[in-house]
Amino acid sequence: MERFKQQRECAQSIIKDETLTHEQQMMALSSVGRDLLDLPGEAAVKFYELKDKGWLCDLNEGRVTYVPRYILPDYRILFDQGSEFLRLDPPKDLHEATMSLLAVYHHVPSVTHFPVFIGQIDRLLEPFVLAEIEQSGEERAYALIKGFLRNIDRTVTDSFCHANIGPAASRAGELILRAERELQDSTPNITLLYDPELTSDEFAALCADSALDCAKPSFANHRMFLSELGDDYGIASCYNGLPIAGGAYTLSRIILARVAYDSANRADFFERNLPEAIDALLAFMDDKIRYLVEETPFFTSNFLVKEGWIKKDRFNGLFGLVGLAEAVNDLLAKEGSDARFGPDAEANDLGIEIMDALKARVDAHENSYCPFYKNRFMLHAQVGIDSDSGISPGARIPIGEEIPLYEHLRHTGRFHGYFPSGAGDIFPFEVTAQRNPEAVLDVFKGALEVGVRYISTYTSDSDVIRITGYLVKRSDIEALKNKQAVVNDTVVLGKLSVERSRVEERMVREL
Amino acid sequence: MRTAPVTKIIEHSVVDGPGNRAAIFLQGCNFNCAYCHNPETIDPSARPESLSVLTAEQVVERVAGAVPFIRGLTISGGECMLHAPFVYDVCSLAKQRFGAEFSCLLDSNGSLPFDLVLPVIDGVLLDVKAAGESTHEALTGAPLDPVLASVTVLARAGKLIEVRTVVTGDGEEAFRCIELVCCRIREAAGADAVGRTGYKLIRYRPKGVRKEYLRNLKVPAAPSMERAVEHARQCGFNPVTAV
Repeated sequence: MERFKQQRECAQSIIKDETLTHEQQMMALSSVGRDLLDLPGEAAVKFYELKDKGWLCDLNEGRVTYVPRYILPDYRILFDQGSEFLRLDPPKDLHEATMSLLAVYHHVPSVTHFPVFIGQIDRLLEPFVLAEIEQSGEERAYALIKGFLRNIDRTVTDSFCHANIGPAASRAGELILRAERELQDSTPNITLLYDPELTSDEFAALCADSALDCAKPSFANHRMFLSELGDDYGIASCYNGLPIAGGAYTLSRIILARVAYDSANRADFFERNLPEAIDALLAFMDDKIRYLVEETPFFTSNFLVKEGWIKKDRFNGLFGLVGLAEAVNDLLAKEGSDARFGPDAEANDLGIEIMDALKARVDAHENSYCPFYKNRFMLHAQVGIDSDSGISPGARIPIGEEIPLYEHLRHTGRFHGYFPSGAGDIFPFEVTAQRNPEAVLDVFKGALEVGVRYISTYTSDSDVIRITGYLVKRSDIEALKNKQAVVNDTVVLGKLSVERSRVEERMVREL
Repeated sequence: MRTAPVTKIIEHSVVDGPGNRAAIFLQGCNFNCAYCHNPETIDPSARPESLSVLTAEQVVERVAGAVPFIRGLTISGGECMLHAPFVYDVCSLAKQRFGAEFSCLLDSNGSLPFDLVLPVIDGVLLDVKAAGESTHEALTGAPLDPVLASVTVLARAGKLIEVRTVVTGDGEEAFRCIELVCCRIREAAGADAVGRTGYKLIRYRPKGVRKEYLRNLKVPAAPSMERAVEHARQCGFNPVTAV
């Protein structure tokens, strides 16, 4: 009854919030309904106990998961066979291709109810772009691509929507970059799947230049992802590497900082609290996944499943973590050491020790619904959420404690290998870097060589900026501060993160 | 072991040649340019606080901290060719250690012969400061001919990466420099060679310039810069940049 009362109050406040659009109210209300349901199993009791202590977090998935958190449809289905359910034939030209994709996007669910992966759009559209250029000229092709991207920004009103380009250069890729630079929109997020052997320097430099201009694209270490996920992978949501035609059932996380704060010392952390937290999270994830697969109709009735856009055996559970830096610093402080995560070897080695212990325990756990990754959950360097305060994303060095660029990248590279389902870091540059985007590319190439999985940039004066993984327009944050509703729901998160996590104080690098 | 007075080493520079590079600045210059904006680097015997006398190994060790984030190094000055044997050592050691692909460039006024270092460098960013003999002498205190001889040698070797000219006043002198360098490159290595050479036009800025020279130097108006850029493009230099 108590819960019912709480949820009713929650619903009341949603419908009275003047800064929410109708769509945002509707989606918030759907969570209220979801959270009136019974828990998926016994394990949730322990999970909620540790959630209340601040050790674990369900990342807004709520009490039950009735749809996979991240879905990466195989959009080639549209081009090869069309969709019977959506009554779409394979498109014949660029106009039809972009229109049909937009129609499909509308029906791709996720934890945010918006598609978190809209495909390798340059590869999908390239034949149509070439034909359009041939037939009607480049400007017509450009107008269609620009309209397509603008439509996505205005209808997929959530920045966790991700498009991929590359690794090869293409005319479609060039037009996409040109449009993004002109549009300066936050959605879709874009990643270049980058491999210096497969991506021409010219195209990669164009991407770096574009990133300095509009924060897109980010660069993913294509070779690294390929070696872990095979050829058919995509980057979804913030920077999550996942199999195409699959995705993630769930992403829950452990807040290492809080587990450390509640530990008396290093031994207490490693021997008692960390294993307890990991086991509780693993059990909760098992329950959620079982519920989703066995008790909801998603994997039997959804058209994406029926028509072969996604396959259950390509889904996985993501085990997230945040606050490694703060955990390390806290455990060392308790021993009287003032070594810090980032600059000091002692602290970084402890970081590795924590990661090794965590990985071993997670790897020892099997879940038969995850055959794609040998029945194991994948580790994920979670980027944080708006309510995090004083907790750094994944294994990042805290904002305000950054170290010199090359040293920082080497540090980042040491940790990214643990996270096949995603880890990323952000290095804003001074505007002067725009005079030499090739130099930024050199830095990125070096980053890949030292093991960095995913790297993003923007410049000191960009309107579109990267908060933790997602993008938000500074101008939208200003509008929201003035109590105006804004079309993109992620701005709320961005505003809170800017206020709580000092995003604007991130070290801007000079080149 | 050979050493040189190193004023500073920058681990990331975007203005000393293509891409991201380490830049090494050596003390001492044989020119005394009126518009020099870091005149403290001219006197070869001066020892500013930041300076350290280093061996080539020590320099390469410092550069190693920036690998793999850089595509090469650039040795600048002062005038780096006053320390030609040291330059040779640094470049050959860097190639040995980081591979033949690691590019070694020099930023030079071209007054001294490059014969010794030519086999171990990938190219030169060459300053051409004036096109007339007397103007050159008046501006730099040194003769023009050796500089033009360097244009020829470097163009023939395919190692003239970029020519740089500071644009002052009405831009006429820069205009003549572009013309002259273009002719020299054509004579030495054919018209195609011009298209493989960049031209950087640097707007004169009074910042850092010694007081006694300020009176005779004028910042170029925008049209003078534009005219120079246009002329460099017409001559076929590629890329042409203005800073």
